[in-house]
Amino acid sequence: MSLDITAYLDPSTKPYPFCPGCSHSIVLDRVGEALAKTGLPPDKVVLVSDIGCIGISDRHFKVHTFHGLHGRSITYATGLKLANPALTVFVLVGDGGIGIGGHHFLHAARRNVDITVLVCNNFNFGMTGGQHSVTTPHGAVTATTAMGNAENPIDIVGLAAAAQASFGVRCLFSDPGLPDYIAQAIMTPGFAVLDIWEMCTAYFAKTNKVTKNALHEQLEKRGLKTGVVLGSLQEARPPSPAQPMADVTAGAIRESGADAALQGLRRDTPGAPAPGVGGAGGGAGVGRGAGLQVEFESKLERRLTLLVAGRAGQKVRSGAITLGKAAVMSGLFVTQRDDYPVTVQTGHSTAELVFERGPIDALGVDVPDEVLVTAVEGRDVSAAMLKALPPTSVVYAVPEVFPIDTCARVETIPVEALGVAKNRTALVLACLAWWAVRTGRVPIEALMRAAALGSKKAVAEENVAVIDAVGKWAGAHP
Amino acid sequence: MAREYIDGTEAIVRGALDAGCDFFAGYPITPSSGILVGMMRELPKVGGTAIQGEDEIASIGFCIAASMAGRRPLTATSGPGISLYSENIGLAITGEVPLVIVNVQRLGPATGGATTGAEGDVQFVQWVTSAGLPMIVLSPVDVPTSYWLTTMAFKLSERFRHPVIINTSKDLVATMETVDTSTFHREEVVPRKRYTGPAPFLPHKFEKLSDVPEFLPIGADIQVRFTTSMHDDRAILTKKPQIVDRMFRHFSEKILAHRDELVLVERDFQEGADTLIIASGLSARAGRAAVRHVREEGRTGEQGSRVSLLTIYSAWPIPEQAIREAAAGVSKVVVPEMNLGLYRREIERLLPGKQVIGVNRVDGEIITPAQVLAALRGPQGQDRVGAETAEGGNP
Repeated sequence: MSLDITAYLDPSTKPYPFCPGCSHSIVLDRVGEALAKTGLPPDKVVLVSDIGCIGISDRHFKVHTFHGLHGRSITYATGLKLANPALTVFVLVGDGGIGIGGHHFLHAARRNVDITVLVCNNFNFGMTGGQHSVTTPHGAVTATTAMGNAENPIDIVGLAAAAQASFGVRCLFSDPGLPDYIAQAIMTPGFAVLDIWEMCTAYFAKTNKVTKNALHEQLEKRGLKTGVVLGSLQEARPPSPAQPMADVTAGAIRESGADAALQGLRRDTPGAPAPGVGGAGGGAGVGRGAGLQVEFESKLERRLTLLVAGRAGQKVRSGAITLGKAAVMSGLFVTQRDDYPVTVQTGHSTAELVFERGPIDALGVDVPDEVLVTAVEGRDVSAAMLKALPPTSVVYAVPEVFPIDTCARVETIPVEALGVAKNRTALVLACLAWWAVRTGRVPIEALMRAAALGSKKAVAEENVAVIDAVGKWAGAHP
Repeated sequence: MAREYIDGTEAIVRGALDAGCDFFAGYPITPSSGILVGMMRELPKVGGTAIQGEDEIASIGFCIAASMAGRRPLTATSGPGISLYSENIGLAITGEVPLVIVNVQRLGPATGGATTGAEGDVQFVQWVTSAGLPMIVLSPVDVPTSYWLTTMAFKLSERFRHPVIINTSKDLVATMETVDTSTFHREEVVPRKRYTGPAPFLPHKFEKLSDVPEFLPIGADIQVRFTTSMHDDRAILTKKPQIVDRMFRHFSEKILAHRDELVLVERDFQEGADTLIIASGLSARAGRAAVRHVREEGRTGEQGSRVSLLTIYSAWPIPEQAIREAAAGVSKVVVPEMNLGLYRREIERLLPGKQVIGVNRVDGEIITPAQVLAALRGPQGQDRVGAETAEGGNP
């Protein structure tokens, strides 16, 4: 069913605000004709307009309109389509907007988002005074290329094709097929683009030839064809066969590859209810588990600070989390502040733990009461702090990190006896378990229970075994 | 009592889900990436949409558009990303877009310290975009307030049709803490008021400057317009001075006329105190510990003086009245913050004649209770790095 053009364009707002002879006026009428051909309900269509002369055309339309920042129109179109896939979304943008927003153009094409981008390409920035753009032909004279443009223009549809878009048309604004091209682009599932070559009478046409013949010469020179040059009028590039058709038509994004990874992008039912508002208990809710029950008892009486200083790959952080959980299950309050380089697999890895019987105010540890050093990297990154430790502090260290420059009392962790001297991933956990037994701060049973909570079963079992072994060793060596 | 051992990232993700957030877009950046990962993991499970944008500009663009289509969006980034959000935050103000933005502060400027904490964005988040209009900025201090203020941010963004920034920091999102989640407080989020009249819908219609306009989503059965340009109540570009003036003042009055609703502070006052600590964010916790220490000393008769603490959760608009009232009886005010005294300048402006002492750190390390204690006792602020005091160092 086709509707009248006035269902989409408001004739009472004419004339258009463009310069005499500007081809934008013609293109807007063609857009209206195209929408009429589609017969889409106007209240299910959104025009997103970029900045520049073409950007101010929103007020002439009777569909929903979204006029946003320069170059970002494609991001809004994507957001609208993601938020409500039932909407038909098309963009009016100039060659300036495609330049500054080229990144978004590329990625919308790559994602094959189901939107249509109509590029009103007049080879320069009209609104700001005729500066050159990313489509200005080589040699063209503009306000900023008085000696002729030294840069090469991009081919908009070629770019979309390289990024695996569904549908692309290149044509002159005067092409009688324009309404059909636009209508087809709008109805095409997936990303569709039209590169509409236009005429800026205020600027570009004054210093460059933009007659029909001149534009065709330009096309020929660059080896560019007009018409449907990506996909076909009859049949758009089919979406990925892995996607059931019904699913695809409902979705905003037409997958072309890593379907599984993209699942999270899509939401097939517009207006689905907001996600589970957590349970009546406030904190209880989505995926929160049962929490940690206080089932054990700690002998800790006053605040204790512990620094675990190891190296990347030793599982310092996860070991400290296990100890932290065990302490929580023993009635303590714990904070754990980790530090490691941005390149997470090299260098030091440290965890600062604070244990208290009640809630903890300040984060961070100035001078730790105790330090557990499990690697040279941990020792070196903490060197200044170790050196400044008072004699009342205690350092527990694996043999390989000696000597340690400190006034604190130093104790060696018997890693050989614990059987973890050569076990990189078990070392820290075993040292922490040994520390727990040695100091009596956290019961070994609590540690085992905390380790068993791990989400990966095999890892959890391994960790429980490591702690169990330390417990047995400690039992035999009181 | 069931306890949990979680970090601020987890609290923010849970808060967002519990506040009915149903759209997320973000771009990876340390130390906020955990929120992106959490939302990408959790949101699809509950029927929401989550997407990793090609950059920060796209991510906030997706969110703004989704909000205008009726969704309840969240995005998260760190300082460098806020820089890239800047222009779109202006768009969200002018378009009256409900939107929640998490800024996980890290040491700046520029790339700065990716895994290094700081509180250097406390002015930046208010003056983040052109035109100098008021922002709403909330500042958690721990895991429970990260949860609470996330739900509060959604409540306020819907209430005022305005972007709300949660200004947290690296050490708050990445530090594991023991919490009792049964004590978490969740704000009820009332959806933006929907227009129910006939066409035409006027998306920026208000009687009083302070009114919040009614909303219709793009895609409603009558036409909805949205524009970045200065506009009239129809969202159509205008330059008519009278209309422009009224619209501009509306953006400001909509927030400032309701500033009483936006005062979120915690008052821990001691009768007869001569010193007041004013703090927000992570540094408030050093303040808390220092206050506890001083009061314990007071009880044991050692050294004790009397000290009060004002913790500010609503950094912007500045809770001016609350600050003035809190400082009424004291002669000295101590302001700890992990920057060169950025919020202190606001305190000084509000409290002429009072001695205002900064405790400042810009080395990526956390301000300690001992540093705050030294400032409480000494005439000058204590700075481990340089001689940063109230007299010097203000840029």
